Amino acid sequence: MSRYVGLVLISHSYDLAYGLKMIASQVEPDVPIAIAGGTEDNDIGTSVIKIKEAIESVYSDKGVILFFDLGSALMNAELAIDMLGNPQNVKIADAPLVEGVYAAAVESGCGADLEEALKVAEQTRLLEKKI
Amino acid sequence: MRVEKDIIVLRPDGLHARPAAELVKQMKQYESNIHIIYKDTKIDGKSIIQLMKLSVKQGEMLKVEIEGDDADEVAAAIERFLSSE
Repeated sequence: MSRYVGLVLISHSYDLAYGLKMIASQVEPDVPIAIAGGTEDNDIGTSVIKIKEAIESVYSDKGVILFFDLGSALMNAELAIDMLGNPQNVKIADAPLVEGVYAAAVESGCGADLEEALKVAEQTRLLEKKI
Repeated sequence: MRVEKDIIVLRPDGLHARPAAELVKQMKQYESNIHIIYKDTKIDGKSIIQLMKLSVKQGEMLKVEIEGDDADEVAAAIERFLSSE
C-alpha cells in the first residue's frame, strides 16, 4: 500500500496540468501525482479516458483525490470514476485547482489520510490570498 | 510550557510557498500548539493553508507563540529553519 494519498490534476489544458504537477512535485516528490490535461488529441478540453488512466496510475488503498479546473471537467471526472466502479476512496475535491493541489500535496506528504487531505484541500476555497 | 519569541527571517528565499511547506512538515512532528504572528495576522503554524499565504522577505520579523511540552524544541527548530542561509 502506498504511504500517500494520490492526486489527479484535471485541466482543459495539458500544459496547465503539467505545470501544476511540476509545482506540486517539487514540494512533495514522493506523493503520487498524475495529470489528465486536454483531450486525447491534446486539444483544449478533457478526456474521460485520460482521467481514468490517471486515477489508475496513482491508485492505492490510501485513496485518490481528483482536482479539476473548470466546471465542465466535473462531468468527465464523475464518468471516469463511474467506469472504475465507483470506488469509495476516490474523491473529487471542490477546491481551487492550484491552491487545492498544493495544500493536498503537502498534507498527503505529511501522511494525512484521504479525508484529512480532502478537507484541507477544500478549505483553500476560503483562503484569502493577501494578508 | 509557553514560549514567545521574535525571529528575524534570515533565509535568502524568505518564507513563501515552498519553504512554508517544508516548515509545516517539521511543525507537524511536534505536540505543541504553534502560532506565527506577522503583520497583525496570527496563523496556525501547522496549517499549510494558512502558512502558504505568508510571504515574508529576508530581513523581516515574525513572532512565534508556542504552547506545549516541546515548546523549546519547536522554538529552536523554527529559528534554525528561518535562519538557514
